[in-house]
Amino acid sequence: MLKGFLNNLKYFWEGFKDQSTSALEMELSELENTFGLVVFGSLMGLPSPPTFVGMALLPYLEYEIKLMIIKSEDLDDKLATFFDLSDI
Amino acid sequence: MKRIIFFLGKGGVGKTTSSAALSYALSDKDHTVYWMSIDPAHNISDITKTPLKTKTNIYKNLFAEEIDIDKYLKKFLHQTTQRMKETYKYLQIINLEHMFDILKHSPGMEEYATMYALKDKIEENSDFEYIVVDTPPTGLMLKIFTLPFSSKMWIEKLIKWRKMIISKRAAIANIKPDAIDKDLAIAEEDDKVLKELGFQKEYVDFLINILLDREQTRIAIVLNEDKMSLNESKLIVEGLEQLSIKYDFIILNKEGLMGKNDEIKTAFKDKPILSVPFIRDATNIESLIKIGERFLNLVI
Repeated sequence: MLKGFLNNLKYFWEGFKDQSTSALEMELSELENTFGLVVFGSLMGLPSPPTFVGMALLPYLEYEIKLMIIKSEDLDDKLATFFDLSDI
Repeated sequence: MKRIIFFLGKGGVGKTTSSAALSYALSDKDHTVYWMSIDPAHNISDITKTPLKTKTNIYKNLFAEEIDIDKYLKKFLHQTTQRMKETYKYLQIINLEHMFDILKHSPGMEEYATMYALKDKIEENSDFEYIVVDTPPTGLMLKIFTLPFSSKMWIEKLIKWRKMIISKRAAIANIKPDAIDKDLAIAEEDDKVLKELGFQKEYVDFLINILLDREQTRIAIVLNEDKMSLNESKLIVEGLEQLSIKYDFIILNKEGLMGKNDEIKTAFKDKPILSVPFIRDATNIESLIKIGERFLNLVI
């Protein structure tokens, strides 16, 4: 019985951690995505830093570029993103 | 380095001749001088009549060099290509060099390469007492001077942004280690993006400090008596003012050819104006020294 209780406590704790980080994770992915967008903004006509800054950072932004592509693919499904965000 | 002197002005007004005159005159007074040209269309070798692809001793303690801006551009693109290949392994099969070759012509790249070259050469030759810089004509030169200032704004913002990302990643990894890839949850000093931005900031800060240093730097604007070069010189002053860069003196070159210098004296009344007569043979070292001696007290 004690074991069951401890297990439940563990799940409760994990759930609590999940909830506490999900907002942070969402904020982080938006920060990472926009960082990429700013660095490579010239590709889509946004004001952007001088070309050489983007080029010098290009070798180290693989993760951010991948994230940008995933996010841009989801752009046409804003409703799903909203449901996801609202946990519906 | 005791002093660095930039010669600015419209194309064809005599920037090269003036910088030559000062370099020879300084060297004649036994100072060590490094005279460089960052104009893509170099012509200091036309004065020295020797090729200056590398640093060459041309007179007493005077060394001259025409900087190969294209070489710096290629070096930067090559370094980026190598780093790309190291990080994105699947790019090995693509001919990246060829793709990056096109970027050579992207806006801002020539100015960047010049900025990169300028910093490199100033550092490399800082053991000379004087560095004299012959620059490209107004348009390109103002872009080169503006680039460190505009880049600094972007770089500082990106550094701040990146630090926020790193701290958020660390916070998440602290609560839930599995949520973040361990390659991403790293300290600020291990982040390559931040390191590269720091590098870039060092470059631009170096040049900004030089351009704004009233002790070490002297900026001369060269012009002739014609209306066009006067108007362009006014544009240079305005461009410099926007960057809070102060110029030090005016060289009125080829004086006496048109005899209309009243307007010039009014336009630049708060700065010394040095008149230089037209010299028929700019390769004559003795006449160059004589002219250069007129600038010495403003530079030494």
